[in-house]
Amino acid sequence: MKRQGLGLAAISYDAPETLKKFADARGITFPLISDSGSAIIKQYGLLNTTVQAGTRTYGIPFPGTFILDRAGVVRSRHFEAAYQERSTVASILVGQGITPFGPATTSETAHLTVTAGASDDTVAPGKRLSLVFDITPKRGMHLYAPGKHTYQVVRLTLDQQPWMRAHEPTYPASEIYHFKPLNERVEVFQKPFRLVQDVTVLATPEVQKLLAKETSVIITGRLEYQACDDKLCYSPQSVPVSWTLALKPLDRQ
Amino acid sequence: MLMTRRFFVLLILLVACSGPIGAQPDPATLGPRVGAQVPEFSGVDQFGRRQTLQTVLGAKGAMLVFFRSADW
Repeated sequence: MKRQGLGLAAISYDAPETLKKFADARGITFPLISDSGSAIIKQYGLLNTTVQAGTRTYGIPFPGTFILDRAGVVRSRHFEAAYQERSTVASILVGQGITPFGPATTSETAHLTVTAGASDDTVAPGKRLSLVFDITPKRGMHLYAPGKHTYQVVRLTLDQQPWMRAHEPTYPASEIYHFKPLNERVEVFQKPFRLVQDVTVLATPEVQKLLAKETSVIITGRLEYQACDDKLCYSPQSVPVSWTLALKPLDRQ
Repeated sequence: MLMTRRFFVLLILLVACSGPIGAQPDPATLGPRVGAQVPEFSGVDQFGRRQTLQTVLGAKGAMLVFFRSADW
């Protein structure tokens, strides 16, 4: 993160001594900021209002992450409905286009070149990571973006796994293609673009039990699309894809 | 009548002790929105150093993480 020019700090309601013990045990050198009394947490509107006043846990925030620009303006924000789940740092940075993604494979079809990778090569229960595709349509080709049409939208269809939840994919802005013979205007991608699909490794007791003896997980699916040029529309395509990720157990300390 | 009074006293005590507890909010509604300037802050880190928004920000910005606790 330093190489990217980004600062990093984490804030909790713990006393500085507690944070020191925690940081020493894990070798954490970036600032863990003590917000005893939860003034910062309240100022940011993040006080967990489901916790009863007067209890030990009163003052905790709803956990979340902000990416700020140099002026302190929010570029993106990452909150999960369940506190056990959290986007990985790499996933957040890849999603923002701040860092490239890790080991990737490139393949080519008659219509496009696609480089596929993932934000992380190691996951654990509760981690939300990003599966990433950098897609370059071949000259004269366009692929279909979400919109008001019946063409096959470019998308990743993942095989369901009991330990995984897929999120909505993230598309960049599309452009309108005007097919003059039919006077048809449709949302397409003609230039290189990035498709990001987040998945969360679930942290439920059932999933932890299911994955207890596993050292890796495999995500499989298909990149589906339909390509057309100025004259022809080609039949919908399906490109098999898979990721093998090392699996760590949940950190219970 | 005595039972009714006792019941109401118990009910009032229960309500007084419970305090206002909100429902789980939609995470999308929490905290500063995209495009908003975040508030300045000041706090002490694990090394005893004073940290503010300005000390945390790098040349291109920062990642600011709010977490529940390092203690449990």
